[in-house]
Amino acid sequence: MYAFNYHRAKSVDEAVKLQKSASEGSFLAGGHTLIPTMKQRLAKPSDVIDISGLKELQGISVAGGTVTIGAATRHGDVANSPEVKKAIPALADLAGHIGDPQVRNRGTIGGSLANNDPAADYPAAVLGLGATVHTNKRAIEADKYFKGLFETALEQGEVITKVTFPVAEKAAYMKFPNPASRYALVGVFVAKTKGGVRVAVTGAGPGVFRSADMEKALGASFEADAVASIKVSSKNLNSDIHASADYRAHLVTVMAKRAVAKANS
Amino acid sequence: MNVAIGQPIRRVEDDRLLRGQGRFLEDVRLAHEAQAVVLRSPHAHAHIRLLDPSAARAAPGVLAVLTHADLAAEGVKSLPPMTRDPRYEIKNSDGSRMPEPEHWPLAKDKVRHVGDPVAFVVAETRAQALDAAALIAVDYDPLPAVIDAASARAPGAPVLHDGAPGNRVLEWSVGDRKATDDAFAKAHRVTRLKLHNNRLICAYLEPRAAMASVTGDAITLYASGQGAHRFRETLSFCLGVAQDDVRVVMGDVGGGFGPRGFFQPENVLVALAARRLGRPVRWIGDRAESFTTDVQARDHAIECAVALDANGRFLALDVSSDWNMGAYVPARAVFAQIAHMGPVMPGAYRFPALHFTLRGYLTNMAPIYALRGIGRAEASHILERLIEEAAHEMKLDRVEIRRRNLVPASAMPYDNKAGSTYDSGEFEAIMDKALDLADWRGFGARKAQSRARGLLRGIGLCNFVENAGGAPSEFAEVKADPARRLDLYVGSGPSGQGHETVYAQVLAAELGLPFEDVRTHIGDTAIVKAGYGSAASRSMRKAGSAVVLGARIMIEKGKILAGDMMEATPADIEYQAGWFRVAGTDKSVHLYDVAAHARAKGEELSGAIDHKQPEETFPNGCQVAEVEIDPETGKVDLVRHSFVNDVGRVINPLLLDGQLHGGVAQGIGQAMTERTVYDADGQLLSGSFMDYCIPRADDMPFFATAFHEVPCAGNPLGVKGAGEGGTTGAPPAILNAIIDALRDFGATDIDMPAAPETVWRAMGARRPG
Repeated sequence: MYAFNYHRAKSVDEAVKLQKSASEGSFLAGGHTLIPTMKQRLAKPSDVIDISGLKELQGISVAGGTVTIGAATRHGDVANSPEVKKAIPALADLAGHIGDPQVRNRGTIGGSLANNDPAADYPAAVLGLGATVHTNKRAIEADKYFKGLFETALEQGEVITKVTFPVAEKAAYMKFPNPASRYALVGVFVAKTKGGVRVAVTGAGPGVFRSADMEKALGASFEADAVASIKVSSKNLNSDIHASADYRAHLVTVMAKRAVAKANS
Repeated sequence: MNVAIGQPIRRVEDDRLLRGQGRFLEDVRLAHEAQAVVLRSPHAHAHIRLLDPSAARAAPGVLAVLTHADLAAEGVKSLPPMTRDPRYEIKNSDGSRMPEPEHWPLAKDKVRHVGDPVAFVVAETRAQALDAAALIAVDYDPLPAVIDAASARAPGAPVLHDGAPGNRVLEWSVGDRKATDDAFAKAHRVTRLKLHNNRLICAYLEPRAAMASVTGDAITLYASGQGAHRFRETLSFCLGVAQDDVRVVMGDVGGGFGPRGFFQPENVLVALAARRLGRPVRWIGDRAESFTTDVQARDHAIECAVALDANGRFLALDVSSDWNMGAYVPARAVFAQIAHMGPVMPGAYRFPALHFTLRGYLTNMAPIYALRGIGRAEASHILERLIEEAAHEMKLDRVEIRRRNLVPASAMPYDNKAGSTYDSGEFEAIMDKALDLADWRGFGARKAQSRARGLLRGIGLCNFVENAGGAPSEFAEVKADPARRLDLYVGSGPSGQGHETVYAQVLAAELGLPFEDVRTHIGDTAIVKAGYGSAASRSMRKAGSAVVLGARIMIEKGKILAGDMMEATPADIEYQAGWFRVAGTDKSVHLYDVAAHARAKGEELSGAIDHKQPEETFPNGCQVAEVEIDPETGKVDLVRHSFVNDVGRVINPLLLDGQLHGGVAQGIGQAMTERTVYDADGQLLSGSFMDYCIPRADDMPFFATAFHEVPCAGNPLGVKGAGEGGTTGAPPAILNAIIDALRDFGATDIDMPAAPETVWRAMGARRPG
């Protein structure tokens, strides 16, 4: 790790100002990606601005068919929230299967979304439920937020403040974990929402994506059989030492089928 | 507490270790330490055209930057492969000696694997050392990389070491070529397989580290290893100093498994730097360095065949293996591989004829060393996969074909035609016990239940015989202290197994004194006079025997002293449970009073022995694995695992269960999760725990274990060895279970590790979806 200046911001505004005045400022939430990268000397921020304790970024509330989660809310808090469990059980279930207890007690939803790891779980829920990512500047629809491998619509100086999830009629997430990292080798989030059926796939490609074919089929019949024979093209999927693109494509179908069955159960 | 052999005494180490009071290398702090880092090669194979450390030497806080030129100037010797050391000498089958490639602690002109050390930077702080390392100018001229045995032996392949043409290190055979060929020619059936015994990264919990301090000529090395005295010998050899000038200290060791027995290059570097600077030097490796530069294990490309008669009786076994040895030949690696693979190739079975050839090749990967079950794990993989397929091809019951070919207990002692004479073993009884433990007969009902849940189910077994060997002698010394204490000094120490507990148990049981009286001293050459260390399941067999014999020597000495005190001749004195008694009288003195008497005379009541016990023993057993497979994803769950083991006499069943469970867990890793991947350029792709899958607790079933004690006559404790049966037997049992589950899909083999995609692909065209 290289030496850096540490700041504990008192507000989002102050955090943004601190970053602006730094030669290379990084926001620190749960630190699960930033800290290991710094320890390996792969990242060299001049200033680390800790926003994990900001009150304005905390908390979970449910009102008017919307679940609102503050950006610095830990995965474990979402997993264990009675409100989330009642309103969108699939979201609590997803959060409860991120990493391990240590990860869930530190990692935050805002950090996960800002990082946009292609195998992270939260992007599947955000895209699958058609959530909205709120920042200090604007509100960004899920469909416009994710831009591929570790890329998002966030601009310099833009901080996620909260995420709002519309309550779905039915939803479920199924993941096939990478045996080594336990990230999603493939994860599929299905949701029957007011705006129609949404299917979001994580782990399989360079970033989370929706499957139009599956959404169409499930729109006609929200049953596992409806997606059982839909093949996803392996053309743009990941191929690495853990799984080939063909196998990942196959798992998308299997996980989608199982997610629908789970949503219906 | 009075204790006996066979009692499940709990580990005395755990209180200390679980409270964070262990003393691992990171916990050792010396005044005025300097901090070191290693600059390592990013290339798998390259000439070093230029190496200029001048900018690094001028960087803030830097105390020294060592390169190969500094090693040469100080007359440092290359790490010895020891294939020509009389104690471990092995020649090629044609009688020639093996090449001994140089293995410099810092690369000389050439790097041969990613992570090969190039420079050693010592500074006031670790951050300064890291900053300075980045300033070292190295001009590499990359060469093509060799990453498997087949390409290493190919004509025109890049040559790693000038002294090893064709990259070949060894070609060694055992058995009768002609008899084997004749048997195959007349066989009713021949079953052939090509197998790969996968390369493993050991990944012990405590990363490598080393520290040294030097006062005058006296060098103290703080090391993490499997035997302090062996490290002392190698360091004194490399530095060209007397062994008396070297002290090696090993505290708690966070996992060994064999690879920790390798004397790592950094041990030389810290000592050299400390000597030059006149202050202690500390090097703590990180996990990334562990992945690329720890010695690795296995990696055999195997062709094997079994010849059978019409009744399924084995006529002959023919095996050849191309061993991918990596870039260097670590000390004793060749000895360990050959000594533990050839002599147990036929395992628990009778083969009228057999032949085995091992060829070893150098490649641009991390060097290979002994890992728990070396050789035996490869042999059992070969045998049990061959037998399984032969049974399938001949439509014979899998248990029955084994039963027909097991060596019967009545045949003991048994010459297995591969260089071993088994002293004892009740292989069929053990197999039957394991089948009962696993409820083999009830499998059909369990399979039906799995099917109802949409899952495949399979069961598989493995009979194995392994040879526990290792260096012949081990040291122990017992001293009785008048303060009512027994000090025990032993040359072979733990890396987590619980040696302190079982040594004390053995000594207390032998002397009939309370367990709490024993204080065990291990791991410091200044305190323990001699030793070899832990390897080849040898500690209880050899060090445990030395403890018993040392205690007996002390008692004989005690009889003379007690005779003095009670005015009796030593021959009339009996010893029991702490008391020396004149036979047939009520005159007695306690051992600790005898110790006081000795002390008053300027003597010690003690017994020491460097016990030489050259013979091997043959731990054996049977493992039965049962798996459930999700046919849509290929994910395998090991749902039951049963293990009956003959380790000879059981000293402590609680710790023995720990050894068995841990060994099976490691075997599960090889069979199901651990895959070492280098790309064509020799870059390690599986270089972190995010990519290299060590099995977790939730990958394990609850193990069922049972013991079948057939005491070994060759040592005073009757033990055979317990460390390596788990890794030897688990992988083939698991593979056979997976293949059993996949038979309906036409699967006849599966590569290790049986990762989900591998299993899914093995189902072929008939798989669902």
